[in-house]
Amino acid sequence: MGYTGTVRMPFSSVLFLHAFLPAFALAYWLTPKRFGNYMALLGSLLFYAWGAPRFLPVLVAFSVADYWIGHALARWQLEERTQARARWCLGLAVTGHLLMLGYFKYANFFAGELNAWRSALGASPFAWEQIVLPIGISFITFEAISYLVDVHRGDAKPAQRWVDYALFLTLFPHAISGPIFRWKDLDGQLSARSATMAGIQQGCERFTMGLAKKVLLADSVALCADAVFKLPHEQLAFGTAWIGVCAYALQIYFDFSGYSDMAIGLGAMMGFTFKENFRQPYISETLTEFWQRWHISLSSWLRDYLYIPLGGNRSGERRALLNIFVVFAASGLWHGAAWTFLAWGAFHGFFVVMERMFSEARKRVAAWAGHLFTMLLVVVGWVFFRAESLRHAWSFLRAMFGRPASQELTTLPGVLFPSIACVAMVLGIGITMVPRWVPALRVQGALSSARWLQFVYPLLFALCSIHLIGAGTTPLIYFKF
Amino acid sequence: MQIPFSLSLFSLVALAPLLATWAHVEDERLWGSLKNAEWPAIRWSALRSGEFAEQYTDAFESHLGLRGWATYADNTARRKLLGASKPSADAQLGEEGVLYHLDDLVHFSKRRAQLPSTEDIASTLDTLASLQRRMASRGQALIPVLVPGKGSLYPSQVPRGYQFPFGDPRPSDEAVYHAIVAGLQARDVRYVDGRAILTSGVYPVEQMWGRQARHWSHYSVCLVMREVRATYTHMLHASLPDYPCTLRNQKRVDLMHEDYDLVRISNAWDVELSSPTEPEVAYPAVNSKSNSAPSMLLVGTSFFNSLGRTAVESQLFGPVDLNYYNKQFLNLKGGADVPLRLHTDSWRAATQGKNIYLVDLYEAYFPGTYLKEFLKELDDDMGAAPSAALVTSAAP
Repeated sequence: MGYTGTVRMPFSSVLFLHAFLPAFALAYWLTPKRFGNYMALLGSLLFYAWGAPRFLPVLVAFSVADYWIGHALARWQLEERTQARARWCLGLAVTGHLLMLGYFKYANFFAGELNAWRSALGASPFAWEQIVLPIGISFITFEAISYLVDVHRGDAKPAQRWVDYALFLTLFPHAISGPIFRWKDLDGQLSARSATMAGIQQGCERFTMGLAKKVLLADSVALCADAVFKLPHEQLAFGTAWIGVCAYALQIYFDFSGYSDMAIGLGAMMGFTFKENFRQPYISETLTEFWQRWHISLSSWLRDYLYIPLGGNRSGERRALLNIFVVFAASGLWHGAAWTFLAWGAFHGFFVVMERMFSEARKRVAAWAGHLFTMLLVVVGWVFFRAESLRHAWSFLRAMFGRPASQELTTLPGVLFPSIACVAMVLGIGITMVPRWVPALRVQGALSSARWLQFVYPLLFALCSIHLIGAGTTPLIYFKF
Repeated sequence: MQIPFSLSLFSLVALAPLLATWAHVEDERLWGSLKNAEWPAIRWSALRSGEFAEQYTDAFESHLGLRGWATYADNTARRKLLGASKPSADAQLGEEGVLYHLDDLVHFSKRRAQLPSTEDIASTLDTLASLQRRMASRGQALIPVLVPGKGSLYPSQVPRGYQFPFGDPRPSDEAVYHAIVAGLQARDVRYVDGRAILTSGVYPVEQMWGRQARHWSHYSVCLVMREVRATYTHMLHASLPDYPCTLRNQKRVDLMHEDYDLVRISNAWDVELSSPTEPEVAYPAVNSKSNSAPSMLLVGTSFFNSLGRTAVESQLFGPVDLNYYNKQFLNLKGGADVPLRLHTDSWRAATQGKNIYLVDLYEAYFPGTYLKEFLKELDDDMGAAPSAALVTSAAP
C-alpha cells in the first residue's frame, strides 16, 4: 500500500507504546501551556526523524517556505494589483509540492516503466537508484496545498507563528496514515487548546480501540490475506480467492481505521479534536455512500480541491460525470504509484458514475440488495488495490468468478487460514458489516455508556501490548553443541 | 486535579516493562531466542541513514523487561484458546499434543509445484552415484542417509491447518522420498533409509521419535548407525563388529532433555512433558583403541549431531567429525568448532581423507544448498584428494 515509506516506529510498536508515548506524554503534560506547541513539534520531529531522517530538512524547509508564502498570499490578495502575483505564487507553490510528491512517490514507478519499455524495445535499461518514500508525504503534500489554497481563497488566515504551521504539517499522530488535516479546522486548536483529564482518558480509550483493531484484528486477518495473495496463479482456487480477498477487505479496514482511531486518540491526549475519518463504511448501501464513510478526510479534500476546481457539477451533467471519474482515478494514483492503484480508482470512478446515471433506478433497489451489491464492488475493487500487478489482479478475479486455474483444493487449508485469522474474520465481519437494516444488532451506542468499559480499555491495552511484545519474539531452534 | 482510575491503569501498563527493566525484575526464561541486541553507539552517519533507529529499536525490544512473561502469556493464550501456536513459530502444536518443527509441517503440506523438480533431484543423485563409485574405488565410503521429517512418523497428528486433502501418497512423499529412493536404486547407490527404519512398525513410534522432539531419538539413531555400519562393511568388504541397540533402565528426564527441545522453544506455561522417564541406549564395550577404526565425517543438518554422537558412543569408529551445513566443523569427540569456508585449504583439510562420509538427505530440506555445495566441492577436489589413510585427526 502506498501510504507510507519507512515506518520504524508505528503506533503499534513496542518502542512507541512503552518508550516514546509515555515519555512524550509526560513531557507534554508537564510543559507550560504556552510552550505546548514547541514540545509537540519537538516530539513530532523526533518521531519523523526516527523513520525518515534524511527527509527532515526538506520538510522543515517546506514548512518555512509555506509559512512565508502563506503570509505573502494573504497580503497580495488584499490589493487588486497584486492578485495576479498571488495567483502565480500559489501556482508555483502548489507545483513545487506536487513535484516533490511526484519525485518521492512516482519517480520509481516511471523509471521502472521506462526501463520496461526500453527492455521491450531491446535497449539496455538505465541505472536507477530507488528513492525511499518518506513517511506521510502524500498527507503532508495535500495538507500544505489545502493551507495555501485556503489562505489564497480567504477561507483561512495564515499561520501566526511558524511553529504552529510546522506542527500542523508534522503533528506525529497523523504522520503515518492521516487523517488529512485542514488548516482551518486546526488553526484555532493550535493556538488555544487544553488537555483535560477527561479528554486524556477518552484519548487513551480511543487509542486503545484503534490499537486493538490494528494488532488483534488487522494483523490476524493479514496472515490469511497475505498467504492467499502470495499464492501462485496456478494454485488459486475459487473459495481460496474469495476468502483471501474478504480477509484483505477486513485487514485494510481495521488497519486504516485503527490508525485513524489511534491518531484521533493521540490528538485527544494533547487536547486536539480531529475529525472522524471512518464511519462504518462497510454498512453502505451505495458506492457513493461508501466514499462518504471511507477515508472521509481524503474524499472531502478531493471534492474541495480537485472536483470543484475542475468545475464540479456546474458545467452540466456530462462534465460532472467526467470530473467524478477523473477525481477517482487521481485518488487511485494518490494511494500508490502503480497501474493497479489507477485501475482501482478507475473501477470505483466507473461505478460511482453509473450510480449517478441510474440514480432513479437505484432508489427502487431494496436496502439489503444495495448493501450486498456495494460490498461486492468494494471487495472486487480491493483485488486491484492488493494485487502485485494487473496480471495478478486478473488471475485473481478469474479465480473469484468461476475460472480458477486450480481445482486442487477442495477444502480450505489452515496454512492459509490459521485459526487466529478465522476468529478475527468472524469478529471482523460482525463488527464491520452489521448492516443498518438489522437495528437489534447495533450495540455500539449502548456500549459506549457502560461504566465497566473504563476497566476494559486498560485491559485491552495490556492485551495488545502482551501480544506485540510476544509476537516480536519468535524463537529459533538452534543447534547447541 | 484527580487522575481517573483507568488512566492510572493505562500508565501502569505503558510503564510496567520499563519499570521492570529498571528494577531488574526476574523474567521468564526465553528459550531459543537470539542473544540481546547491543545498544548502538551514536554516530552521525548512523543517525542520518536510519541505522541508529533500527539498531536502537532492536536493542530496546530485546532488553525490555517482562518480555519473557509477555511471550509466555501470548503463547499460552493461543494454545489454550485456539489450540494453536503462533503461525510463524518454529514449534507448532499438532493434534494430541505432538509438537512439530515448522519446516517439517511446511514440507508435509507442500504441493507438487512447490517441491524440488525431478531434474534437480536427478542431478543431485547423479553426482552422488558418481562420487560413491569413484570414492569406493579409493577405499572410501560415501553413504547417503535418508532422514525423515516428523510428519512422516506422525502424519495423523499434523495440525489440521497443514493437512491438505492430497490423497496417498502426498506430493511431498511422491516427489521427494519415493523419488530419492527410486533414483538411488536405479543408480545402484548404496544408502541407508532412516525413514524406513523409523517407520518399520517394529518399534513404537514414540521410541523412534519423541512426541515433543525436533529430532529422531537416541534409540533410532543407534539403529540407523548400525545400518551405516552394515552398509560400510558391505560396500568395502571391511570388518567392523556389529552391536545391538538395547534399551536399559528408565532414566528420569527433565525439560533439558533433547527430546523436549520443542517444548522449551514453545515458551509457554503449562506444557507437560510427554514422558517423565526415558530409556537409555546401551552400547556394548568395544575395543575403540584399534588403529583400524575408520574415521567418519557426517555432512548435514542437526539430525547428524545425534547420529555422530551415537557413532562416538558405539566406540566403533576413529575420529568422528561433523560438517554442519558445510559451514561449521566440529570434532564430536570434544574438539572445538571451527567455521568452514568453501574453496579453502582448511575446508579440504577438514573434509578429505576420511573412510566414511555420511551425507544427510533430510527430506524437508532436500536437496539443500549444503548438500549440493559439498558434493560439488568434493567432486572438484577428488583429483587432488589423498586416498583414505585412516586419518587420526582432521581438524583444521
